[in-house]
Amino acid sequence: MVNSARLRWIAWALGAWTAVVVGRLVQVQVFDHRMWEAESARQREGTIEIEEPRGDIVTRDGRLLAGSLERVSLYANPRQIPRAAWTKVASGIAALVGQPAATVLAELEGHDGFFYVAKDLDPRVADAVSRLRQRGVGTLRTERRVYPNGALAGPTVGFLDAEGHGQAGLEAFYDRTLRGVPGVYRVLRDGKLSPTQLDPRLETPGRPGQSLILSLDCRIQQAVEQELASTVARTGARGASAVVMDPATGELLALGSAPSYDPGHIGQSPPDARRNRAVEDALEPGSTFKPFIVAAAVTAGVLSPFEMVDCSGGGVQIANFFIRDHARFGLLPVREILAKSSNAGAIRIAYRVPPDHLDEMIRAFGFGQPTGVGLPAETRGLYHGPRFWSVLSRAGLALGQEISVTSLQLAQGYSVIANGGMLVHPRLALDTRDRDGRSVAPAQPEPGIRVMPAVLADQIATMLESVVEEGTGKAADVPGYRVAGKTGTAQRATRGSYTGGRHVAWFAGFLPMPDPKVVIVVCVDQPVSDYWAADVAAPAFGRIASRVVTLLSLMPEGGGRA
Amino acid sequence: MNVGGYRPSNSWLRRQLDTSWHRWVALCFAGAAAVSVVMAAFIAPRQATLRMQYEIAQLSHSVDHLEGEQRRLLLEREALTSPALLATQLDTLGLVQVGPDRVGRLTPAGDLVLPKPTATPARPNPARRSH
Repeated sequence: MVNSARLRWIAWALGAWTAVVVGRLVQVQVFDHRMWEAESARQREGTIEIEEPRGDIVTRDGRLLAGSLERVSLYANPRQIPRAAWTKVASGIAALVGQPAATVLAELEGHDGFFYVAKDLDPRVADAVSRLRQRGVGTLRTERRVYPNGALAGPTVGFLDAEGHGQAGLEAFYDRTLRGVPGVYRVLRDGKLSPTQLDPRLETPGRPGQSLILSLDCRIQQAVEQELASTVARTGARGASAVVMDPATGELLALGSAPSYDPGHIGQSPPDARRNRAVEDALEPGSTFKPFIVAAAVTAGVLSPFEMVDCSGGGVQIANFFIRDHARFGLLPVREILAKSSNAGAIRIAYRVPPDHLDEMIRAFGFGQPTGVGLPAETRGLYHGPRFWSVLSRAGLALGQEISVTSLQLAQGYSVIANGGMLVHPRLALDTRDRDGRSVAPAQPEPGIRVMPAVLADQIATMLESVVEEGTGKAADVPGYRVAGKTGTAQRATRGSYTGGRHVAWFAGFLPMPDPKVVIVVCVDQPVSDYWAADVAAPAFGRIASRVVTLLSLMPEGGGRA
Repeated sequence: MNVGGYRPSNSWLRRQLDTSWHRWVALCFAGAAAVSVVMAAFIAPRQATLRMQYEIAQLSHSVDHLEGEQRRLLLEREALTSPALLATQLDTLGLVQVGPDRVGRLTPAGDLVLPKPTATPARPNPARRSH
């Protein structure tokens, strides 16, 4: 006899159980469908980023300073290759990578899993590998950075690390622009949940790196580097740097540093050669700083450009210190103070200028702050405001001491004199272009900031012309051209004193007068055979300038480019 | 429901022969031909597209290869014509660096401006020692 009440209870219980199961199924399959699908995909799949081709670095005249070549790496995974096929696979791979089959076989036997058989191979190897149709052997696309012009502008271009990230120079500063955006691919995970390269599906398309168009002129850069290398070799200097700049736009035509290095063989260069001395070495500018003192005095209204200044006595007494001049002068006009580089005259002028105004003018010329040229290790130099000045500070500044500047900062300062009194920041990057050569972000020339009246800038430029005509800078002359400039020989401080017998030779100038098209600064650090700027830096300036006017087809007498 | 002793018989049926079977076969062939023509007309363009896609894929592969090769040659040319390399091979190539004193210029007006002759280039006086 069947107990119908018990049966009913069992039926109810089973029915309730079935309803719970069905409800849960509906919840999982219908309502939480997306969440569980995503969770499943998360466990099963992962994403990898595949780098897009890196952009080029190109000079304004179209020379390639840095470019990338597509290469492939060949890998093998012995676990996925049947043991019996190893010999055949080894001989097949060996023919592709140019290694003995025995070596490849030994590699297969020596590895337990994935390993690279060879890297940096021709992309055609990828086709040959796919024709092998062998599971466990494949290729991955890679890229090799190439610097076809070798060491040319090496410290400015910089270099990459093994992962392809910029480590110095423009490669580091514009790394994101040059790298572009890597493409994101969805791939299967392996047993250890690590993403594999199997069956990649594009999830987010990448963007190839953009090319950087520089203001550098390859020919001028080469001329500058050649001259710096020969100057360093001839004088036994520790290093040298030079800047060639368009004073109207701030575009840098050359940025030289010696010794230099080849970014493609970075391991072969000593660490000291990897510095871009033009922006990383801050040195006392010596007498090249005197024109800025004159500009400060005239704008403060305490000096007339045509005034006679007392430079007698062979020096000047400041508090308890007597600062000697290098010759005995009498009354000198301001023009001759610069031409003869009279220390006493410059100091007397400096002490007429109120400290705050002197500080304001020094900063207005761009000293004590980075120029923002777009190089990662650029220094701001060394300059302290009046709060930290001693009684001797203004004398030190008049002689180009108590301040350290880079060659680039000095070029920026001299550009103010050359272009009629406007501060224009130097710039290296003119444009960025996409893979098809379309302009993406052209740099707009900045209007400049007025530092001093144009009349005063012209007067100081004329004074500097006399430095080359009849003063200490005769060796900077370029036959047929009117050149303006200033020498500077600074003692190099070692452990807080100037007794080390080390010097820095400078020459900063511009041409062709009266409408200068280029500003050139040459700095020779610690020359041994001779250290006077008139004998070391000025001749180097002259040789660079004569090459520049030829390369740019500059007409004498400021006639503009031919 | 079973009825005992009853056996159905179809002996009363008489075979009927279809004398117009060839007409039906001809109609079937005609229909098949019509369908084939319609399908061919429908598929042919798609087939051509498919073939072109295949050819494009193959040619794209070739283009990639050629672009890579062009890139390699471009970099090689850059390296071979780099100013630094040329500077070291001036004698071999029969080239001479030209200074501004040897360059004449044409002005926009068409006049030839020759460089000013200089007796001796100004060079530093070793006896002079100045800042």
